[in-house]
Amino acid sequence: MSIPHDRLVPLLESMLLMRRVEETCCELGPQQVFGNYHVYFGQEATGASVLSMIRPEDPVFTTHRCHAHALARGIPVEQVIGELLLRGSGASKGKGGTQHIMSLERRTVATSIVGGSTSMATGAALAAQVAGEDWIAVAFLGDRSMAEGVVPEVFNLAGLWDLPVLYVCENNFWGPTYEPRRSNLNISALTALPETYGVRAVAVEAVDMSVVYPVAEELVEYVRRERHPAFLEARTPGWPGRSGGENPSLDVTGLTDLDHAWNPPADDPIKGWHDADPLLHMVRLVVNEGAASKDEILQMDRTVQERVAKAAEAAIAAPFPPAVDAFADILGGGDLWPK
Amino acid sequence: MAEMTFLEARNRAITEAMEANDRAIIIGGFGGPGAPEGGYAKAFGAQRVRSTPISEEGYGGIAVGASLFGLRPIVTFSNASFMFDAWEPVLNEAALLRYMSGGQFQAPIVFHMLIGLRAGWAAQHSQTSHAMLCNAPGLVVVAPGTPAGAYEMMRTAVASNDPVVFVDSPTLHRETGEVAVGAGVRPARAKVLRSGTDVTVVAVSAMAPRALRVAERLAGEGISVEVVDPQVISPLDRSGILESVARTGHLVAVDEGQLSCGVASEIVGSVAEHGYDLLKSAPRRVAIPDVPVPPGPTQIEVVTPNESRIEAAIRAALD
Repeated sequence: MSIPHDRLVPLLESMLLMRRVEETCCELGPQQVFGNYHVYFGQEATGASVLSMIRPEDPVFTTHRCHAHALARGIPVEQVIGELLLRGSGASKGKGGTQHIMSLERRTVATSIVGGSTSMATGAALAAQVAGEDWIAVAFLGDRSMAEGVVPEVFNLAGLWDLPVLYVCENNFWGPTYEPRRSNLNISALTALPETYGVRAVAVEAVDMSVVYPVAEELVEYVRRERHPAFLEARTPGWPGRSGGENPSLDVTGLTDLDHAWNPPADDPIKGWHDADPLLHMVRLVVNEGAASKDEILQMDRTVQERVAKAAEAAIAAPFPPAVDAFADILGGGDLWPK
Repeated sequence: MAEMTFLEARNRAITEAMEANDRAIIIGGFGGPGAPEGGYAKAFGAQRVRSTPISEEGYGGIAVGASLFGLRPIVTFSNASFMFDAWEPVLNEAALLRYMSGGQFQAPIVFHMLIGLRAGWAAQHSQTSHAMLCNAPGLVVVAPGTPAGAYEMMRTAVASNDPVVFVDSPTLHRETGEVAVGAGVRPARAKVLRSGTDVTVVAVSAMAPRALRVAERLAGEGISVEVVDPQVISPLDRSGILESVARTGHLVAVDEGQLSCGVASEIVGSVAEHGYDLLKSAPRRVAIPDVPVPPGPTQIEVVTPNESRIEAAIRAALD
């Protein structure tokens, strides 16, 4: 066990917040969350561990699947849900939506263009190098973005220029028979691509925090120390609720019941999911390590759920931004440019 | 005031920007202002002047990410055709991140690209994409036609907190003119290059010196041509153009881009909509007649907005 003992409960709380917000997103559903929403079930151990090691000054670039990353960066849950509902109270003032939750204060950028996070994070690492700053940049990307041409382009440049950037590839189609989908990439392993360009690359099964945390920590420290790029492939379990396609609901899985960590349901139709769920693994780990009792965890969960429910109520009650703001924040040059 | 070429004026502004701010950097491919032969790498070092592999989308995206976190990149795509490979970072990221973040982030970048028709280069090296970029709110597009404009527009571009496309043309590089070196950065607006009373010719980028030569010739016949360089083509200085049309009553718009949905079309459309009563004749457009640019000398001549086509359009407007 190489997770600092005092980190266990905060990591669990971070994962719980991610889980309960995504469940709330699914419950609000496409009638209230405009656009296609992309949820983070099963990936919590990855985002929670990596972002717990990232400093406030480190720029983070996330993707269309950004809700949980935004939360782990400290963007208030009210602003995250507000943005899902396109309210003026949202993190991006209702002009980004579910796929673009951003915060300058939290140095967090989101793009829904697949591959875009990798090139921009590499640029933020260049900014650190040119300015002589000691921060590093982080890009989250999905496994399918690895087929975009820009991804090897920036692996090449990051390697050539020794840029301090960590690429966190969340391979969220992982299952017991993991292999890169032939329909997506004709390579033996996702790590082969960054390795070809001299980017240090490690794959990890991101189910059990005690496994993923030390690998993430090693890579984060490598990038900080060596000022050179690294790539983490986090193989995260597939969530059965996704089989429904876009805008998933909780019809298949229901709300997460933490009691399943100790009392698995009998004749469970989604036993594979419950066996692999990183949140249930984390709950057991925290108890086994003596960082919190079962009752304390259930109390923490109730508190998180109340906080999320209150944030959702506030977001629903908040007004949409004024229509006239459609014309705001296009250019910043003021009088320099013609009107 | 100092006499210099368009190229010297443009490079002077880049040098001043690099000297004034150590967060200004140059990233790009061969042939642009960042090319090693331009002397920037020698003057400012390899840390701030990045010659790149041929990876337009990659280094374009890197420039955007760098601009969000403190750098002020000048990105050189060389030929405008090559910027197509970087449409993603230019149009989806740089142009939109301020808006989509609710005004939190800004991308202060200059994207430099070359347009212009030259025999031998063929259609793939002759794309004139500046009008397409004018269709992307969040981007500024400047296309000066004089050495003074090159200096001033590059200075305004590097001073602003917006992503700015600097449209350049090799055929302008040896044009000479007076440049107010060191003057303060002023708002970018349309500029009257030559005053006249009979007809307004709005000439974009390399069309400006062409229009001035035609105006000089027609002055011998007693035709008084006012030549306006819009300098910024997006957002367009419509009021500056309308003021000129109010003086002359006739309009010819000249652009070395494709005719349909082009900059000349936007100028004519804007004047027709907002200045219909000012017009005494139908406005005219001179542009590439919606054909890919051929390489051979006989064919390229018939698609180029050259002096004889500009002159013919002026005569038609005044007929």
